[in-house]
Amino acid sequence: MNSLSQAELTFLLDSIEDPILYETTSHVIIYVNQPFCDLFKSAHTPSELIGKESYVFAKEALNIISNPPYFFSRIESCIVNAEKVYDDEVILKDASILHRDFNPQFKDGQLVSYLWRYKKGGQPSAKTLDLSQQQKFYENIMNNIPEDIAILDNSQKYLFINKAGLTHFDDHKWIIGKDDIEYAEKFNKDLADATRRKEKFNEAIKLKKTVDFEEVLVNADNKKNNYLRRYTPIISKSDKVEYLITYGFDITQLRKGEEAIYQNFKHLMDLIDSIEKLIIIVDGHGNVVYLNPVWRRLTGISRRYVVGNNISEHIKNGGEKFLEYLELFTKGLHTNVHYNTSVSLVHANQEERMYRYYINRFTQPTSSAHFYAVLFLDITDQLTAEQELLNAANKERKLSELKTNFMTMVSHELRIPLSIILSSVEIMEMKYDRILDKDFTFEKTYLTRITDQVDKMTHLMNEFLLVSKIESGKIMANLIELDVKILVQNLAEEIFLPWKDGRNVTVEYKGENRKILFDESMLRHIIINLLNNAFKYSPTSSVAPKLRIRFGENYWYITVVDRGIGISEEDQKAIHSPFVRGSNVGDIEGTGLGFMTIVFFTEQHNGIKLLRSRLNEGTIVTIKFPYQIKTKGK
Amino acid sequence: MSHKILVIEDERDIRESLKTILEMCDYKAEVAVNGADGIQKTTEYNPDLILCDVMMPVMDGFKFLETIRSEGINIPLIFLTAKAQHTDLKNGMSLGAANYLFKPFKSVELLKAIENTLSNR
Repeated sequence: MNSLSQAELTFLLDSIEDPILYETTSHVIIYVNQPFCDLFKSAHTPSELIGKESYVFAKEALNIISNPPYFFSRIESCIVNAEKVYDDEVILKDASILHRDFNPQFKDGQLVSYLWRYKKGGQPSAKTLDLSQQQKFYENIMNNIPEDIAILDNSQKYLFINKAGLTHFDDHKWIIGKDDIEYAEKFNKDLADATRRKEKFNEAIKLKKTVDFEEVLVNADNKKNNYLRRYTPIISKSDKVEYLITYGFDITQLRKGEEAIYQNFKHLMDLIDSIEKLIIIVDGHGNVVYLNPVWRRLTGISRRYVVGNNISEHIKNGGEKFLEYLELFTKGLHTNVHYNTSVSLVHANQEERMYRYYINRFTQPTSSAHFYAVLFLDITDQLTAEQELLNAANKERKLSELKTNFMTMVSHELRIPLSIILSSVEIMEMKYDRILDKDFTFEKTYLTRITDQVDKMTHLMNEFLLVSKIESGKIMANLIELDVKILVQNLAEEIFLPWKDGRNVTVEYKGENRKILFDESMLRHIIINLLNNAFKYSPTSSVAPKLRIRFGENYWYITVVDRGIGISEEDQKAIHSPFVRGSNVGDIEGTGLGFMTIVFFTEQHNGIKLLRSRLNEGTIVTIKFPYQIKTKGK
Repeated sequence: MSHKILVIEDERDIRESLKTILEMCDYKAEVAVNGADGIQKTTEYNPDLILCDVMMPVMDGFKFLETIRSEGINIPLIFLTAKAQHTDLKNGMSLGAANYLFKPFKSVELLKAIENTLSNR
């Protein structure tokens, strides 16, 4: 086809009724028709305008367009996208609607010119009408949202920003159609923030994905606030970014909280460093995350060689057990201390030392990961001391056994010569008794002395043997059912009715007689010893000692009362120890072992002994026994 | 008629003292030096009562008592022991002894025990 002549072309163009503007990419008018000039109420004719810049229409546009910022931003958006746009709605001040087509022209792949065509006509579409009516409604809502919200076109110019987005209402009007850099320049804000927003904006455009970032802004009151800013691109049907919604959440309080936690965490780490005990922080698998400086001091190994390794690699003994235990602990199956196990570490001087460990879980604030702080306490000395104590105790027990065996042996061997002496003396006494015509008073005096001393030796030997058995723990109560009344009756008749000085014991019973569980020989020992003491230490009293047995509901009682020399308060405290006797005993014989054995036998039957005594007035000993006995040792 | 008492005791001096004391108190006394000897003397002598030491060579007192009881001999027996262990004595008593005395004991105690045992027979 032949190309059209200039005249033909002009004729053709002029016959089009729709307003048309054809311009270069630098906005120099190539062609404009009369309807376009009419639309924008230009004072110039089309031929005058050719070769001029198209901005001349901008001033007129302000007068006829209902929302100039939006109008210009749409134009800008079309230019930036450089794609055909059909039927873009333009609302005029008189509420009438124009439709605009945009057609970018390329030559050899290069953008060279734009064709703008307005189509008069028609009523506004129902959709546009709704929007225009609803605009104020939505704006109102947006302005009441406390977080800042803005809508940007795809060249980052503001199409809308709510009240929270800007502090001054003037700014709010001014910023429409401008970007953050222009804003920063006008209001002397930090350009770096604006530049950063630009980068993130471009990223969102490029990725066509929501981009989040944090920014710190200085507010009107000069306080720094943290914001989480988000750019969400809205993608058109043709997969182009049409505009972006951006909003910022004030996360200042959150960050402050996190900062506080982080500071606490830092303090915790400082604390860990300052503790003079070894602390190792590991993850749930025992991999070392941190060690305090004590590590280096103990082992001579630099901390950085250990971080990242598994802790068990640095434990000489007990590493595997430790890991097993840590696993149980991480699952909440154990408390934080494992008393029965320990680990050993090799010190810088090659000495192996034992450690007990305590585990505590904590959460790292920035990552929310769980870690385990393990405190190691050196128990080597403690273990050594325990072992030494154990050895000493064993040694003592062996010694004690040896002593008892020795005592048993000695007492056995002594009984034979004592028997021979005693029987020999008695034979001589009997012999003298049968010679009636001669006085052997002199001889018999000395024979009696021998007999008395044999008695004393026998008694002493028996007491020693008993005490040594008690001390070695060899004596245990053999509980049998007993009738106390019968036992006491027999005892009294055997020894105390009368006692060797001729006085008779008084025996009293109170309460209903009940069978008791007791070791028979121990009960005999207790009663004989109590009564012997009562008689022995009341030598000048005309009143004989009294024995009272009382059966209560849950307990039964033995009470022995004498009107003897008494025991001073001070002596009462010490009288349970072996070989200790009252300071007022004078010539009265005794070993100082009797009371100790009474106390021991009493304890064997869960009894409680009560001693009341006044010097030169007398003594009352009461022992209270439960009917139910928990025996010791057996 | 005076009672016959057999004294089984390995320690010569004690054995002889006991014999003397018993005879002075109008008992007839025979002696044996250990359990084995005691068995023989028991059969030969047929005593009314036996005084028997516990620890003796060849055959001890417990073994002796066990043996004669197993042979159906029910002569009452009193142990004379240097042992102060009650558990041992319980063993002895359970074998069928009438009584026991710890050495050293007084003649009075011994004679009282003998009288009691013989009168309970």
